[in-house]
Amino acid sequence: MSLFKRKTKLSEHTGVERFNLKFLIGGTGFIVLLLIAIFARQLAPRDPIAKFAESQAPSLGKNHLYLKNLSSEPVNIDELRIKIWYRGYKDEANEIILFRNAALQPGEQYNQTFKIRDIGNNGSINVKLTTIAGSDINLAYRFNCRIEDTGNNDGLLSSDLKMESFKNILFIKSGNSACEDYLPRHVFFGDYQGCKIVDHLRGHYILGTDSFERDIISRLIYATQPTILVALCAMIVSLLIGVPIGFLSGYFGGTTDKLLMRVSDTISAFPRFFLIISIVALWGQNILLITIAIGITGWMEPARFINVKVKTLIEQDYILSAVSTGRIWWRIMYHDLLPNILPHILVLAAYGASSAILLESTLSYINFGVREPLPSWGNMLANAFGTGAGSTGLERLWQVLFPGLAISIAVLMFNFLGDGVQKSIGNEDE
Amino acid sequence: MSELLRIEDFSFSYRHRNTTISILKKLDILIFPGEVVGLVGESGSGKSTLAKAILRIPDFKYEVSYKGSIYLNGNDLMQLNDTQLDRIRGNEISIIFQDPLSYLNPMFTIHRQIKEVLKHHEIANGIVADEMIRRCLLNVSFNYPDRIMRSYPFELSGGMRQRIMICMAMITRPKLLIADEVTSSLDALIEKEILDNINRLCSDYGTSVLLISHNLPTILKYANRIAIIYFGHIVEIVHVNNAQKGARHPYTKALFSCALAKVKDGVFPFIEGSIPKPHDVIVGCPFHLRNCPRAIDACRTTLPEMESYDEGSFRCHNPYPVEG
Repeated sequence: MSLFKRKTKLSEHTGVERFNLKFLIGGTGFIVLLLIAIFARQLAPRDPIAKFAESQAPSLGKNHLYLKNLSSEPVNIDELRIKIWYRGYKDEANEIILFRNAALQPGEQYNQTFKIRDIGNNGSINVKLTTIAGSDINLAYRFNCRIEDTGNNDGLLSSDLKMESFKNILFIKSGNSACEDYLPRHVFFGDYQGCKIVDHLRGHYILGTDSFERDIISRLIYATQPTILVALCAMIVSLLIGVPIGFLSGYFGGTTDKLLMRVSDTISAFPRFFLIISIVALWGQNILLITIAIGITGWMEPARFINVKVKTLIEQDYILSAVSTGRIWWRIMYHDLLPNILPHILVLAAYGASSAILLESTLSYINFGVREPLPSWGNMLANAFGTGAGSTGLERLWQVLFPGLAISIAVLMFNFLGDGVQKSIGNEDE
Repeated sequence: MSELLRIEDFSFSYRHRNTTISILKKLDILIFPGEVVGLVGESGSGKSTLAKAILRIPDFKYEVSYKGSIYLNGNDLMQLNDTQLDRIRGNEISIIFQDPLSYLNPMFTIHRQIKEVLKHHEIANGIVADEMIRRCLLNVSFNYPDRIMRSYPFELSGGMRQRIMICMAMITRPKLLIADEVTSSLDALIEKEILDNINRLCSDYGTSVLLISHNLPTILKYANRIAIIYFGHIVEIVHVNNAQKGARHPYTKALFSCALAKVKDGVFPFIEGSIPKPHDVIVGCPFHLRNCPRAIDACRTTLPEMESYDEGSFRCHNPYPVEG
């Protein structure tokens, strides 16, 4: 059996694994979150603030138009053109003729792809649809575009037939059951009965829309920005306060230690959430202040931890050796203590960031944090219970599910990172 | 000849849970330039404490109080503030500790640790410092100093680490080197190498050494004078040539007979009892408790004063007579 002797790793004896699974998962999760936050604009399929109707304006690049004849008779269309002008650049209107002198047979579908050039202001493009038919008010309202008579079809303009023929042409994404394939998969909310056209189908609504008809996936993606920003900055603020205090009190001991630790105890005695809300209530509600509030109420734990660490480290002989070679106190802190404490600071940073994410979400949930309409996981949760939220439990669950999952995953990733760093420096017991 | 270091009526105590524990009591030692003074005593007698107290290192950890004074070239070390003291530590007085592994910072390479000393005392920087370190490492018999400079403490053996410590202490060319039990964790062969290194470097640089050890043969080999410390008192200071036969104090005699004697009838000679605990309060001479062969009534009531004679000094009511 000795042939199959189990190989033993060094890690089995020391408990130190430089790249353990938790560290890898947590680190990857953190990097992914960071990348999502940085490239949110590129990743999000839609504007997170724009409501469904507004977001239907054709976007830059490829756009699709679908037309289908639902009537039993062929429909003649003299001309169908899309006139696009750019807000503020009316002179540069771009007219695309899609359809001319054509007849749509019953059940026939017409697909047309057209491109929109970029001449500046993305997201504020108006579309003008020109058909043989008259205006459809609903259509214009819904999609921020106008249907206008071009005046080329004199004989048809005043007649009722025009309207009828227009109605018989179904623009995809209408409320009609015939077109359900093109509907966003999970849209639970909003009244689409009046919608008859969706000329912009650059990707479906992957997770549907919320109670304000805003795209959930875009909001989820954009919400990583305030979350990561608050988490990292608040953690840095709390470490910037806590670590020096822990260092000084641990190093000098005696009265300094007692004084600083009593101060930290006193602040710790107050509920942290109460302190944060007080600060936000006093000085206003913006993301900078939330960050600072979470930061300056979170320094006590790092301070205490670093204090204990420094106290045990200065018992080490090499610190005495440094003293005996005449090294000055701040040099000992920087040169001898800090490198030994740095891994522990990393652990504190990871845990601090995870608690900051939770706090930020909670604040946003009670509308003390990131304010509507800017997205944050917390206020996305809150939307599920606000006015206009869905009437059924499933509808509410749908809105709670994704931001809730996002918060859990983000917190889990930071906790994994903390655990992983702790394991890789070999003190899992702490 | 004017002395380099004068320890005068020096007492040291620290506070522990509202009680004052006195470790060193009224020490008087002189160290002359270029001289090697051996400090011998049992474990717990205060040897290491004296070594650290000279540089006021215990300040760093404990609540301590000093009485008396230690003069280095006429400057009282006890009166200096921290900044002045930092200039003396490692520059004019260096210290080498007992366990070389724990006294080297595990996070840094040897090169960086030694260079830090040079940088702090503004002796050298950059390439000059590197060259100094290389030469110093060659001086402490490293054949490949560049490899040593790149390595971390845990990559080196005990003897190598101790030589690194010597290099770190001697690179500033101090006036006094305190060697606190430098070889107690090493074997006899390495011990000789280490002490030879210290001896050679110190005689090259004209550095005085306070050589602390519990190993009497070592002290006899390298020291010029020997100070024997017992329970925080210096009981005798004697010249090394005179030490074995001319010792006056019974404790010195007992120590030498234990350390240098062969095993007789299967029994190793030893001093009965053990050294008193630091917080014990003892009236009279502390050695009378251990069946001092020359104890008299005065020993139980009063502590003897330091008495000088032409070859040394001792602290005893009833010393052995001068031989010959």
